[in-house]
Amino acid sequence: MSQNTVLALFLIGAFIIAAVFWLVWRSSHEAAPSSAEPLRRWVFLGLVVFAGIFTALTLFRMPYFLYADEIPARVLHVATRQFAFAISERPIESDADYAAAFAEKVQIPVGQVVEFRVTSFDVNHGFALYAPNGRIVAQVQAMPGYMNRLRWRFDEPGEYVVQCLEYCGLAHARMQARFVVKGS
Amino acid sequence: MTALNRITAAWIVTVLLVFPIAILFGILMRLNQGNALSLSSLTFYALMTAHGLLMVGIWFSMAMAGVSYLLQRYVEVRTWPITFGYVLTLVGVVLLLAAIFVGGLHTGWYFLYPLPFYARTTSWAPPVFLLALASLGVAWLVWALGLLMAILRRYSLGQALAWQHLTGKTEPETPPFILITTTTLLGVLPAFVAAVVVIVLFALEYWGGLKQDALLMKNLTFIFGHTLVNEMLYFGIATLYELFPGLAGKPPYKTKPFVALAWNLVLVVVWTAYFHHLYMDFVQPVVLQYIGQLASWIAPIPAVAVTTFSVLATVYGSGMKWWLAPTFFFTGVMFWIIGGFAAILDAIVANNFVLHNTLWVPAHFHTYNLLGNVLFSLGFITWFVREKSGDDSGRLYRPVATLYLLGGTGFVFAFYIAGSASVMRRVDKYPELVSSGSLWALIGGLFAILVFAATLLYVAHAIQRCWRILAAS
Repeated sequence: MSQNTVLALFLIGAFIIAAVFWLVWRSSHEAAPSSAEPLRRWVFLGLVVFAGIFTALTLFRMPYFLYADEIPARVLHVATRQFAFAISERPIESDADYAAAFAEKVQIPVGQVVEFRVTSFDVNHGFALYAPNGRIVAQVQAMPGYMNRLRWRFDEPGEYVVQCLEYCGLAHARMQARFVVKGS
Repeated sequence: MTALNRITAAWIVTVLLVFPIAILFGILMRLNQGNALSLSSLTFYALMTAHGLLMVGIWFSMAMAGVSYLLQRYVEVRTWPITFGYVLTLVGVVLLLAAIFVGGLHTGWYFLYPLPFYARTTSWAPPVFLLALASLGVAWLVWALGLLMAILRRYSLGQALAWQHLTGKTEPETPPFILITTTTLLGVLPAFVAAVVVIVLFALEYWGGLKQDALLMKNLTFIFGHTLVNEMLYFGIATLYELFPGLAGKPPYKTKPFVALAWNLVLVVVWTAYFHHLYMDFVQPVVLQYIGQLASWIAPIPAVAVTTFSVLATVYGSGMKWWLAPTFFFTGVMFWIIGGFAAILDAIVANNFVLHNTLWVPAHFHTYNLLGNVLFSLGFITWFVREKSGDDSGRLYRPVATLYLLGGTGFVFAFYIAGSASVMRRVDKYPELVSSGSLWALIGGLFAILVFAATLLYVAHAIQRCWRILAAS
C-alpha cells in the first residue's frame, strides 16, 4: 500500500471507532437496559473476516522476494559508517575500498532491477530510498556483520536521496547520499 | 492506614512528579524539530533518551502499582516486593539520569548494539547506564514474582489462567482480574530475562572485549522493549476490568470461556509479535517475519472482541454518572484501539517497507500510550484518590478532560500526517528532504502544551491528596 492509502484507511478506521464510542457514550445519559451480548459473536466474526482479508492481501507481498525471479541489471555494494554511505559497483571490504567508493558517481538506469548489498562497518544504520517526490519507496537496514540484499526497480527518473533511518549518533539526521536514475 | 495504601500513594506521588518533566522533554524535542528552539544535537538526543526511558519506566511502574493495590481484593499481598521495587526503581532512575545528563549518554531508550560503544560519551556513562537498567530489571522482576507468588498461594496455575473456564466449568471461579494479571505477569518474565542477557552480553564486550552478534542483540533488545510495553498495557486492562463495571454501576465482569481463551491466546501471541520490529532486517529468517505479521494481527482480535466490546456493552444505555475516572478509562479504550489499528497497519510487512522508522511509529505508540495506557493509570489514580479522600476531582473534570484529549489528539495526528509523508523519527532537525516535518513538529508541540497544562492541573490536585494520605500515616 502507498503511504496515502495507509493514511486514508487509518483515518476512516479512526473515524468509525470514534463514532461508535461517541454514540455509545451518548446512549449512556439515560438508563435503557438492554443486552448487547448477541452482537458479540458477529463482532468477533467481522474482525476475523477483516483480519483474514487483510492478511490474504498482504502476507505474500513481502519485500524480501521482490524481483526474485529476475537477474539484476546491476549490483551496488553499500557500506555505511557514522555518518556516510559508500556506494560502489565493486565490493567494499576494506577501509581503502570504502574511501575509494566516494569517488564513484553512481548512475542507475530507469526501469532496470538493481540489487543493493547493504552492510555496516560500525553501528546499525537505515538505508532508505527517497524518490524525487520526497517519499520513501524502499528501505532496508544496514547491520554490522550482516549483508542485507534489497532489490528495487526505479521507474521514475530523477535524483534519489538515501537517508539513514536508524538512529546512529549525533549527526544521524545528516547522514545522506544521492544518486541519479537516468531515463533510457 | 495500611502499608499497601502508603506504598500506592508513594508510587502515585512519584510518578505524577516525573510525568510533567518527561512531557516537557518531549515538548522541547518537538519545538526543536519545529525550529522554534535550537538545542545542541547532544541535548536533543539526551532528552530523547530520557523521555523514552522515563515514560516507559514510570507508567510500567504505575500500572504494576495499580494492579498490586487491587490484587488485595482477592489474595493476600505482601508489600515488601512493592517497596523493594520502589526503592530499586528510584535508584535505577537516578543512575539513568546521571548517565544521560552528566555522562552524556544519548543512545535512545533502546541503546541498540553496538551504538553505546560508538556514541561519543564519557567512559563511565555506558556501564552506569547498564547498571541502571539492571537495577530496574531486578526491581520489576522481584515485584512481578512477588505478585505472582501471592496469586499462586491462593490459586493453582491452571485456575489462575482460568483453564477450568475453557471447558465451560464455572467453579472454582477465576475473576478476570486474576486471569489477566496472571497472563501479564507470566508474559513479562521473558522481557526481564532478555534484558538480563543483553546487559550481560554488553558487559562481556565492554570489559572482556568479546564481540557480540548484532542480529541476536537486536532480537533480545526488542523482546525486552516490545514485551515490556505491551504487557504494561495489559496491566492497565486488568485495572480496567476490575474497576470499570463498578464505575458504571454494573456487576463485576465474569470470566466466560471466550474471555479465558482470549487471554490465554494473548499470553502466547505477545511473545512473538516483537518480530515486527525487525521486518527491515532482511537477514532475519523469513519464517519469523511471517510469524511477526500473523501474531501482530491475531493479538488485537481478542482484545477488541472481548475488552472493547465489554466496555461498550457496559456503557450502552447504562445511565451512568460520568466523572474523571470512568472518562479516562472509556476514552483510553477508544484511543487504545485507534492506536492499535494504526499499529497493525504498520505491522504489515509490505507497509512497514515504507513506514518503518518514520513518524508513523511514534504516532501509534503515543496514541495507545499517552491516550490509552496513561489514561488507564490515571483512571486508577482518580479512583484511588476518591476512595481515600472522598474527592472525585469534580472541578477538574471538564478542563482536564478537554485539554488532555484535545491536546493529545492534535499531538498524535501531527505525527500521523508527517509519518505518512515519510518524515523520519529520531532526528534533532529535519533535513530539507522532509522539510514539512518542521511544520508538523511545531503543530504537534503546540498541542502537546495543552496536554502539559492539563497534566499540571491534574497533578497538583492528585499529589496534594495523596500527600495527605502519606502524611496521615
